[in-house]
Amino acid sequence: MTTGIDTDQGGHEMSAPVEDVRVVDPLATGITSRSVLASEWIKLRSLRSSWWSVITLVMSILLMGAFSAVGIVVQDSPPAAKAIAADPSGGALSGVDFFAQLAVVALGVLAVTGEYRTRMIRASFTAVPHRLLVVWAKAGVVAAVAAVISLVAVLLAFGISTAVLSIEDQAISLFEPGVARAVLGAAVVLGLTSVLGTAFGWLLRSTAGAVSALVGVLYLLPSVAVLVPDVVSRYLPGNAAAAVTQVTRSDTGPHPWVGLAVYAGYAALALALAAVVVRRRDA
Amino acid sequence: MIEIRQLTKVYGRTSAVEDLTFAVRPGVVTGFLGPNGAGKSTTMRTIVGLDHPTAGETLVGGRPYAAHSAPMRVVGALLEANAVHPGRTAASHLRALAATHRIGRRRVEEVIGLVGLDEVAAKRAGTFSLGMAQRLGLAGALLGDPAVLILDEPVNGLDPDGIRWVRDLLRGLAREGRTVFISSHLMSEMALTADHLVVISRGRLLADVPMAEMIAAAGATVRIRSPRAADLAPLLAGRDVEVTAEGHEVLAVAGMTSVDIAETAFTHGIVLHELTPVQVSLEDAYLALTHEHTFYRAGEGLHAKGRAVA
Repeated sequence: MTTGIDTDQGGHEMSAPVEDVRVVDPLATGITSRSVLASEWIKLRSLRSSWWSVITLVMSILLMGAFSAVGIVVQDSPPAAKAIAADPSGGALSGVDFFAQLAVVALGVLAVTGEYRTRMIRASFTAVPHRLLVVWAKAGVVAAVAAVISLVAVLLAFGISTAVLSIEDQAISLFEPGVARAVLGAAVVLGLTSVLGTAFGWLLRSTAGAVSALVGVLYLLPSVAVLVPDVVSRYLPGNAAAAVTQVTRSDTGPHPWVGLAVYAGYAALALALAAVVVRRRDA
Repeated sequence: MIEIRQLTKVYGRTSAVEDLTFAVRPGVVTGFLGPNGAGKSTTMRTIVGLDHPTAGETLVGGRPYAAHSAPMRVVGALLEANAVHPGRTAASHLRALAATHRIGRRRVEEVIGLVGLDEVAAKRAGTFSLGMAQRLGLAGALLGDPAVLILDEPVNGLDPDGIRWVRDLLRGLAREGRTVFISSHLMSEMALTADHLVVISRGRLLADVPMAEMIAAAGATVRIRSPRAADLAPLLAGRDVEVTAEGHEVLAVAGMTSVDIAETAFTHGIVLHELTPVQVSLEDAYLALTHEHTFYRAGEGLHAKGRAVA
């Protein structure tokens, strides 16, 4: 006892001071980054909202890819061969740049803001007082899910497009220049976008706020940025991501690998900012 | 053992807790009392690292909470029922918490059984009543079989059976040598559960005393009925004795034992029809204590019999 007015205890209390009991050796079962990853994985897959985001992600990639392929087949102008020359993926990736991005934004944002909205975050941070472990683990789990699901969906979309285009005796191939890079790039970009989603979630703590802010950064910023010099606007997040996911390089965009590095940089920066804020703030 | 050392927490320009120092010992149930906004929840949140102290520190088992490698094994906390995602099932919620400490499925099922949620474990927490949410919160606190329990309003929303169950559980845990620290606004319940009390108001410590002492210090009164009450009153009144007329021929005497009152009456040949020691309830003792330290008062009469402890 350090302070207080307490003297001897009366009545039914125990007379001798009792040591804290420790039932299990704490060292045997401490928190590790792996255990926090496992926890975040359970959290993510035990929520319906995650499944809806994933279903939206898959459907947007498959449907948009299929529509594009059907469009190439049924339209005469431009002729199918010309359309495929312009986009060697046959439009298989056309769902990636907007709809799939929105789905992974939702996946990442909700993984975080869902906890703030329901105050689950207090239970999470009580269980894991090293909050940054939670920040990294959420980003890691969400990014892995987004990237793996996206890769599978994009490959499926590619298969569908191949089948549809074969009606017109047209062929697309993963080995055409830029195609494999765009397919893999789409998966990586979507993974990074979900990381941005978690970061915006940590920073703004509200679903609506985080989704609108991130959609604004990705899609409104490039439109507004026609006012700034090209050298700047090509490295905006939305443009950097597009450089990776589009098969044909645009004249104004950065080199795909530069675009990927820049986009990864944005994700890392946003997550670092989130980490600083989360550590300082009261939960 | 929980130690609060010179804890100060300021939100913006208002200080929720000011230079608060006390310790919570193992082996007993310690009740944490105070009016709304006194700083109880802030103090509890600070202990488990959810809030950062402006000054001072809080230690659990000799270390800051976050310095433990397996904090859930040291402290089980229930700071808010409903701090649960409503879309997740009770079982998934507990499994996610357990996974952080590599606590196995068996223990998860064990605590689900312990709090009596077996039948609804597969249901989403959003469908739970407040009482069920409390049980789920308790299950989470017990997952790590911790040496220290910190529970904010643990019986809130429970039915009488549930309240009794929590009381027995907490007293049992304390008997095993664990540190049990609970807050509650239900004074009658606290009187039955706690052995020791820490009372704060406006972020400052008012009392840190055993339950028995808290009630004794509030001043038991003695009720007297006598046809000559009016004659007796001035004979009893003195420096430390307060005599109040409670009605026709009835007096309430504070600061004097029934033995002394009887002797005084006998000496002066005054007959007594009734001589009853009245035990002050914890509620009275608590209200007396906190009202002395509160600027606003809820009206006269509530604290008429009170004297301060600290």
